[in-house]
Amino acid sequence: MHRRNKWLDGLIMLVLIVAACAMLLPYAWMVLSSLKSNMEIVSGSHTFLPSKASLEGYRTVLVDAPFGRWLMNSAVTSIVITAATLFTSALAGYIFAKHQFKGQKLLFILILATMMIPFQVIMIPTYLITAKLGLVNQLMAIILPNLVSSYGVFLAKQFIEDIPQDLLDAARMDGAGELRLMVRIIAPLILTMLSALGIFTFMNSWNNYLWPLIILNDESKMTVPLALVYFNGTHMVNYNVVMSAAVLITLPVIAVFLIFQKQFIKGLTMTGMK
Amino acid sequence: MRIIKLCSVFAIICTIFAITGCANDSKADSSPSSSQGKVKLVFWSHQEDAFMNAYKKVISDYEALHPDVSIDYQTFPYDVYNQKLKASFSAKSPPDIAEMFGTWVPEYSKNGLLAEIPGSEQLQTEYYEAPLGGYTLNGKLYGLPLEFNIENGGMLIHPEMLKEHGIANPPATWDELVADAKLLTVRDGKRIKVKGFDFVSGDNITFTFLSMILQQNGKYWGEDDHVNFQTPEAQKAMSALTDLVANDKVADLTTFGGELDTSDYFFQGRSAMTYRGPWTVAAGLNTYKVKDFEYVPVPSFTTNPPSFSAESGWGIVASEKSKQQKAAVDFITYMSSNDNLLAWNQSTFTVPAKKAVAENPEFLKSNPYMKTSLDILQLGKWIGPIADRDFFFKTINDHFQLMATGQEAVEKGLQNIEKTINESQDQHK
Amino acid sequence: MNLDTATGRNKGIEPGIERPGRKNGRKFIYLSLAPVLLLFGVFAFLPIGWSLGLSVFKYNPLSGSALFVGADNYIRMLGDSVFLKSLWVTFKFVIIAVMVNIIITLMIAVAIQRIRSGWLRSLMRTLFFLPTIAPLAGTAIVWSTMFNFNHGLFNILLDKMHMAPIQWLSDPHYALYSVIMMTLWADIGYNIVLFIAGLDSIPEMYYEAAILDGASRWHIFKDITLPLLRRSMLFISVTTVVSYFQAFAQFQIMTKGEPFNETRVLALHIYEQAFSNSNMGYASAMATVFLMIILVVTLLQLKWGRTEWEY
Repeated sequence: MHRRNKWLDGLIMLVLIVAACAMLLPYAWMVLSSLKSNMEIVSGSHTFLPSKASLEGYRTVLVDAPFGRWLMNSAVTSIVITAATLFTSALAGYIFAKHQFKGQKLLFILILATMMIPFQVIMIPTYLITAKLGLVNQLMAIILPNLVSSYGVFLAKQFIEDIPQDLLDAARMDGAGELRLMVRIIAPLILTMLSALGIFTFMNSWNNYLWPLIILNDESKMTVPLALVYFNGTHMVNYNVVMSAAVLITLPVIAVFLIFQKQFIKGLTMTGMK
Repeated sequence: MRIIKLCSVFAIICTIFAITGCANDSKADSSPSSSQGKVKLVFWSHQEDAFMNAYKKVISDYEALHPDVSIDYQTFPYDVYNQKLKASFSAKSPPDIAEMFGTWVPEYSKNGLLAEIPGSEQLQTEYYEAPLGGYTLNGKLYGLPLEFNIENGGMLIHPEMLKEHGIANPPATWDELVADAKLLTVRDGKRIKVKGFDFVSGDNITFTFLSMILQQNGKYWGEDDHVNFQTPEAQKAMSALTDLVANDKVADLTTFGGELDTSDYFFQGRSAMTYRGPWTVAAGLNTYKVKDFEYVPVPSFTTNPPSFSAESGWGIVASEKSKQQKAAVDFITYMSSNDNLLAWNQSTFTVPAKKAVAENPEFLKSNPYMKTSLDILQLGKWIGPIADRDFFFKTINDHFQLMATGQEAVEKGLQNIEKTINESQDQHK
Repeated sequence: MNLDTATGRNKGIEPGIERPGRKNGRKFIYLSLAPVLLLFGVFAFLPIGWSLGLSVFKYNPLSGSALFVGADNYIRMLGDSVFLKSLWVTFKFVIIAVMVNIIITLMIAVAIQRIRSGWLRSLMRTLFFLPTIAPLAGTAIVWSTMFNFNHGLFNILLDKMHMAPIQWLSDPHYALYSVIMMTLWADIGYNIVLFIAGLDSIPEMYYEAAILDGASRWHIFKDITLPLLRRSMLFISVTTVVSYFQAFAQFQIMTKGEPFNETRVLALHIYEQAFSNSNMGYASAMATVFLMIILVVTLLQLKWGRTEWEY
């Protein structure tokens, strides 16, 4: 054990607490601003607390806009994407780890290389392709390009490589087909990695902003992050409404995080995923 | 532990469904079921409450008159609207009808993406020249302007502030304007607390600069769609403009690029005179609920009449690719009738682009603040064939700031502006 | 490329060798890989190839016709002051943000690790991690209101301390630092968690031996903790650098590259050239250069990282 120094420990604790409070400050700001009236924000009254709490912002978000519909769209697309990504990553990872075929190495490197590409770089071609497929303004356009993940394939390959070959051979001896092998033997062995991948895929698609912004037009087809820009008018910003939308969007994510916190942290340290 | 987690997930899903249910109930009656044999048109516009309400009204009127047509109205925040339009036209999946800013239109019309509006000769006499410029290509019209985008000629003033400083009337000459502005500027240490004459906004720097060239009988377009800012007129105009910030110190750059408009600062009482288009009056009346201001003419830079450069403003176009092109053009024609435009201009607080509407006494009666702008409409000159509107304005604004803060000499700055803009013009040929 | 994980797992066992004559296996490979590869092909390889190909054309997506210009787009970049500026801004942003990020997160991680009570430690970790999961678009909007000149939180605080307000996002001296501040808030959580995991994996016996030798706190940190954290450090710096190079939403929402292009990072510049200015070919050429820069920087980091922990 370290030599304990009470004073030093106390000081460090104090600094940490101050830093933690600073971390919470933007949340407090967000919630308090959402309760102000727009006039109060714009007129520049220098106060932190609302002079009169008003739920007007929330009312606008929930009643004047199809916010429930957006939540639904976000939930459906994120769930489908997550499920599909887990499946395709495990499948491709298994093949790259435990099978050999011509061009395997090159293919794997190509898939890895796509990880490096910033999305803005390929956005226009992706948009044109999506349009050619007739998917503009369809929720399918959000789902389809995200069904596979290069990082998912990479992770799955790394983890499946650790599974002893004997185990798979034994199962094959018993007459298990490849798919059965994957679901019954491999999937349980890489469950921790899969849950990490699942959580982060879900978060990323829930938070995705740029692609839906470009591809979706219909108000009824939008996903939640678009709500933020939706309430930003041209010359007049409805701060309280935007803040209310931000609160409503952040809440479910925080709830999910608090529930799965352990798996989150474990998965993060294990996979280094972002 | 696991059960608790499952329960909480279940609870969240239930909540989502519950909210969805409520939200859908309230929305249910507004979404019409699509029936067979109907002509469906998609109409895009940018988001601004007054505009959206005005469009919605025209759309429902049109649908009532044409039961076989239904119009799907979709709106986008201004920040992404231009990009969405470009993306959709590039991918050949554009809306049938689109609201476009006049200066954006040439890029589309010269690539054959927009439908021609019939009867161009007749229409050209019915509209003012400046707003029509962007929509015209080789003598044909590809869309019609709804408004005359006029940032020039008028400014917001607080008469009380003028009186406090012993100024009885709004300035009548440019020299008076500068002198008054100096009097009206209130300082708090080094900072300006109330600006005397604020023109530092994304639109007004450029418009004021170009108009000051015109008012000296100068020109800023050279050959081959290139700009020419190496003229004595341009020099003089830019020097006078940068002086307002650098020497006269009646405005500063602190609010430039913030999320609020210069008019917002005006209505908050942070400037005595603000150069801005008449559309800002609506914000004062409706958002700030103030009445202690006036909208008065800005004097000419010279003794010439205050001619000014103007843009085509918002208008509507129909897509050439649209399967319902006829219906789309018909809607544009319907919307451009005198009565509909009158109602539209009145409720959006915009300046009419059509002569008959501007001359209608009804219009002035409902928007008395418009008088200043209406009086000078025929002095407007089309800004010219700008290939990339945002880039053009940004270039002038950026260099203006450099010149005003002394980081660039006016002469050098104008050279740089000219070079940068002409390169962009060449890229778009 | 070795992108091994933070805490370091065992290296994988060599893949088993496919036995000949397993027709079923072949069929399985092709059947299951085909759809996956199709998706990768359509939504990853094709757009990348397309984008690279476009970089030698002058292409306005609205006109639909592309004019072959060879290396013109690349040559143009050398004389384009806005591009060079944005290159400079990008490096400035990445270097400052990554350095501050690593120093802060390491300090916080060490501090959190010292906490003895378990629940307090996990509470702290949670608090610092929370911002990372919120949508970045939302965070950026919330922060831009906090930076607002007239009614933002920071100027209210300055006002309370009787200091002059600051144009956080439109003063060229502050804008980039404001965005860096927001970016750090939004994602130091990741690296804190990774550093804590790295610290946890250092065996206690090293410290005990050092304490017996009478080493000072600072020496323990410098001579034991830091060298043993090399793997975490390398991983964290590589991923943070790559993700900061790609930072986009905060710039697009908070500053749009203003003032004076002081915050125009390359990712934003490419996006605007492509979508707002319709210079697709030129944007693609810049994207190619951008990609090369990221690759080279990553490879350099990996190389330096390796040689350093071998001594």
